[in-house]
Amino acid sequence: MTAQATPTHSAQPGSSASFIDPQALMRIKTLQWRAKVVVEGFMSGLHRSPYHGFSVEFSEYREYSPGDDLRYLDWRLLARSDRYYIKRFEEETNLRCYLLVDRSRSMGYGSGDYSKDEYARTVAATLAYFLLTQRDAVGLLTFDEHVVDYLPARFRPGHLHRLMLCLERQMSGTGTSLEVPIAQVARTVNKRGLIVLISDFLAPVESLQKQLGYLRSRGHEILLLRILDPREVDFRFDDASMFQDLESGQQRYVDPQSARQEYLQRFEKHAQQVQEICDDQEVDLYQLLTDQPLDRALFDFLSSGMRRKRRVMRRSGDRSLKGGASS
Amino acid sequence: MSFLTPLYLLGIAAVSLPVVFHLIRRSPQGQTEFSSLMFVPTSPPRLTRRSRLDQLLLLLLRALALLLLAAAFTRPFFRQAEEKNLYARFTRRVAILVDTSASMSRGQVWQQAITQVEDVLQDLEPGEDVALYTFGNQLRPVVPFGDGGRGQDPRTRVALVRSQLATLKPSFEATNLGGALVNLADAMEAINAEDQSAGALQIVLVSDLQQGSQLESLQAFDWPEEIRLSVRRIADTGGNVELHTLVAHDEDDSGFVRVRVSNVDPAGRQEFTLRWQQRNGEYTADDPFPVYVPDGESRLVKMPLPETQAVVDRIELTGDVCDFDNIYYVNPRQQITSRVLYLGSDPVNDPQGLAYYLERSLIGNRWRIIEFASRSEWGVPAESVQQSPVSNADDAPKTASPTVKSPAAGTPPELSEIDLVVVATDLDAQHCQTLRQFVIAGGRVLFVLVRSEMADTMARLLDRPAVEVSEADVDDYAMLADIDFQHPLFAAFADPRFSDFTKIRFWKHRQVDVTDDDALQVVARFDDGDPAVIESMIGQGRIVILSTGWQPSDSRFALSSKFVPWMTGMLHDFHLENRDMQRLYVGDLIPLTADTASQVASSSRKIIKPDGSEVRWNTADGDFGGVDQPGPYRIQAGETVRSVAVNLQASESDTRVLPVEALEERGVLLGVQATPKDMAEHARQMRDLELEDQQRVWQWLVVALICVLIAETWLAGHVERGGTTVAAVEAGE
Repeated sequence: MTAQATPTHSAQPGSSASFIDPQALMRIKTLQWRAKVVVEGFMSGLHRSPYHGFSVEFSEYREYSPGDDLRYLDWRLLARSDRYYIKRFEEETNLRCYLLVDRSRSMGYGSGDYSKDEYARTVAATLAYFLLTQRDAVGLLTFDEHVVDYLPARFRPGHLHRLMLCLERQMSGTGTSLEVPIAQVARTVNKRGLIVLISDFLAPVESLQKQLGYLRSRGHEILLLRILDPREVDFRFDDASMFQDLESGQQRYVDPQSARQEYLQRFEKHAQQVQEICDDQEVDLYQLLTDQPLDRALFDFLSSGMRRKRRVMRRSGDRSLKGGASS
Repeated sequence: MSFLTPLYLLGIAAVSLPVVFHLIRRSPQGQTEFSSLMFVPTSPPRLTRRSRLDQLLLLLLRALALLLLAAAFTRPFFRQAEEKNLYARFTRRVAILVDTSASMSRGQVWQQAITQVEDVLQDLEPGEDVALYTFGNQLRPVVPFGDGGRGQDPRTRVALVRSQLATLKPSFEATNLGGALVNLADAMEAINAEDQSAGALQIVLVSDLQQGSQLESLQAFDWPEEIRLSVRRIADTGGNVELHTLVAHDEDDSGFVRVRVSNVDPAGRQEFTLRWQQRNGEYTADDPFPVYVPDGESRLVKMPLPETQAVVDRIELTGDVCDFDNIYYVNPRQQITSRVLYLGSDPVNDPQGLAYYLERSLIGNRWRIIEFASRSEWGVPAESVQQSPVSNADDAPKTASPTVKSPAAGTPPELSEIDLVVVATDLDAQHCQTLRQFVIAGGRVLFVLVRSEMADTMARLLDRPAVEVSEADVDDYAMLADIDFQHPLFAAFADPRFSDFTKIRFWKHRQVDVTDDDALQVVARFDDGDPAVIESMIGQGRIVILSTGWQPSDSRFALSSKFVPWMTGMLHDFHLENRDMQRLYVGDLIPLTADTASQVASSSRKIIKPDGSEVRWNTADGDFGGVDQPGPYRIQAGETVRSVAVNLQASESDTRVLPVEALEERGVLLGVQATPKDMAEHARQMRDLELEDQQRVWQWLVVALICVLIAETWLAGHVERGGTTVAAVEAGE
């Protein structure tokens, strides 16, 4: 399974030399402009639809099985080889992508000049811009412990603007609940699509597997982008002080020097749990640190698309092989 | 070692601060927000290396620096020798001045005054000398100053003052506060000067400070700079009414007495009553006389005389809050008989003579009987006018003519009963000598120089060898000029409305040469410069010489409006003092007058005070000064007894509160002088300042501080460099 082969991608500073410095990018006030800058700097090609349909472009042959539509039977091959094959064409479809953006309080943390929320919104805006540029339908759902905003996937003039308005809205929630947005998407989105979940996943992971499995069972492709601050990863603080939980408001005296080791262990364990869940559900998980260029998110998105494509092709290949063996 | 500013020693406590900061449990300095504490373990505070005293030497240096800084601020110095008896150098004289005026006797004022004095005595400190003075009309030392507080146990002085204080009580005198303060200030200055000490002088005034206090003496007094006055006012509920009669009696025989009732210190009462009282204190049968006086106002009422013939000598006011001044004493009515003897050849009924006009000018009344006698020669009665004497006072007319008595022929006149002798004829040497003795004893003679030939008689009367007298050469007429209106004879005419004598024309007059004779005082001159009225004081009496006559042949003097008052003044001048005596107040002198100084042996002359005590009165001692209480004083000289009413000063009834600022306005320096303890403390501080300024220990401390700071800086740098090196090594690893 390809998902196992693509573990969590972390920052690769050496490979991002040509990327845009996120600090410089964040100085651009308008979200749409940030997205435009990222996308136009990255634009390197369009992905192709992984879905097969009826199109003018031939894809492959498949052996006829009873029940197949006879319209697609290749008569000329039948005449030439006396075998029944069905012609399959590569269908160019529009992608329906849903961006699920976490707007909880924990996303408001930032050790630098900007917060994770700022970063996440920019990532979402970039993806939305990119997809809309490709004439794909993009939907948006922001959430904290409840669903804050929901925009169905559309491709129409002005939709990008509405997306940006929703993203620019100030965060107001407190906690993080992954169940609510996922259940909302599963309930409202009937047509299969791509679901990009942008969050820090700093929440209990017990229900994550169930929710992701539910989505997967509905045929959605899922991409998890985990946004983390570098301090959350390395926990490098100098002085002991009262640490306040941004979501619960809870205060706790912490001496970073003594607590760091245990924190890193707990954090790693949680990250592994998330990764295991993703692996189980064949879900791509990418970790983005807020000091990494945003181009990387686009890069991860596209590479995830490639992997999805390969997965589909492998599945279809498996099915054809199974079919051939049986025949 | 001592410190100039020891409070800075508290700065040493700052030394402990660095240690305390290190040793106390470190609490987190700030607050750090974090996205989620779900992975963050709870870490209990632990003692780090910084919680222990690691750089002990550095800490000690810094503590030493703080110590030196605090010590420098305390300005330390070394005392050379402690002065043991510092207090002995400083003294303070405290004079307690207690008001013993009549107003202090009202209510609880005196008890409060005693309490105030006790308070002052209790506050006295060692080294203070105390004196006790009282004042009413004048200042009286009760316990004078001692040795200035040196070596004398102050408790002894206080005990002495206490014992004397117990004997004090309010008098009936007025409040001469100004005079008492002036005299006391002078006395204290003199004591200080005599003692050659510079002790502080303090006057503590214990008084009710009533408005009636007399402060005039302070106006011209330069209050000494070194004396301070502190006032302990006695608070009182207030309220008093003043009672006063305008005229001693119904001199105009109207049957009323004009009484002034002033509600000077209102206490909410406006209705009062007046009643006559007899000498024995009993009321007369008359109804009480009601008086209504609004608050703060004054009413003049005509109080009727008692209808009965009882002898009354006081008016009592009822309804007043304070009763110390509610009785006003008046002199009981007395008939005064004045006797005039005329020696002249002209008959009384001759309108061209002198006696005719003289007899008619002597006007008496119900209370003043004038007896007129005329003799043509010594021992020869002149042809006289018989008039019926006043037999009953009720039947007497309001303006009675003098009673003319006809002495028996051949008998010499009884000069001892005569008040005025008018001489208009020649007398021989013997008679002149008799008259002269009469004058020396206090009698009065009017010598009318109707002829220049009377010069010899005049010379004999004046006891001169000869007096030059000549008939003046008058062209038309002469007028009086250059009149001495200060003289009692002309004092009644001093007002410009009455001082015009130009209408009186003198056809004839005699020239009397008074030059080179200082005993003769010219009271008035004619416009040609010749003396008209000459006075000569002989013994206790006087001789007035008129160098002209008042009969029509000499002048129009007898016909002028000035003649009757002039002649009345000539006669009643003796009683002016009597009239003044009717307004005597406590503290005044009872003047020695003709009637009291009569030819009575001093042994039999005495004064019976209102309280019944008798005081012998020697004429040689002059006026009687023992008037110390209100009431009727009975002067007994031989067989005659005369009563004089003495009252409280009207100002004493004004019990309104006098503000203390009134004293300040008159230059009195209010305040409290520093006690010897305070002064010693001040002197010690001054000496400490001087010592510290000489020694300047703080400068050395600052130098030491700088050295310590340099060492600390060096050590801190050294430690820092060492730490950096270690850190660098650790980082390299």
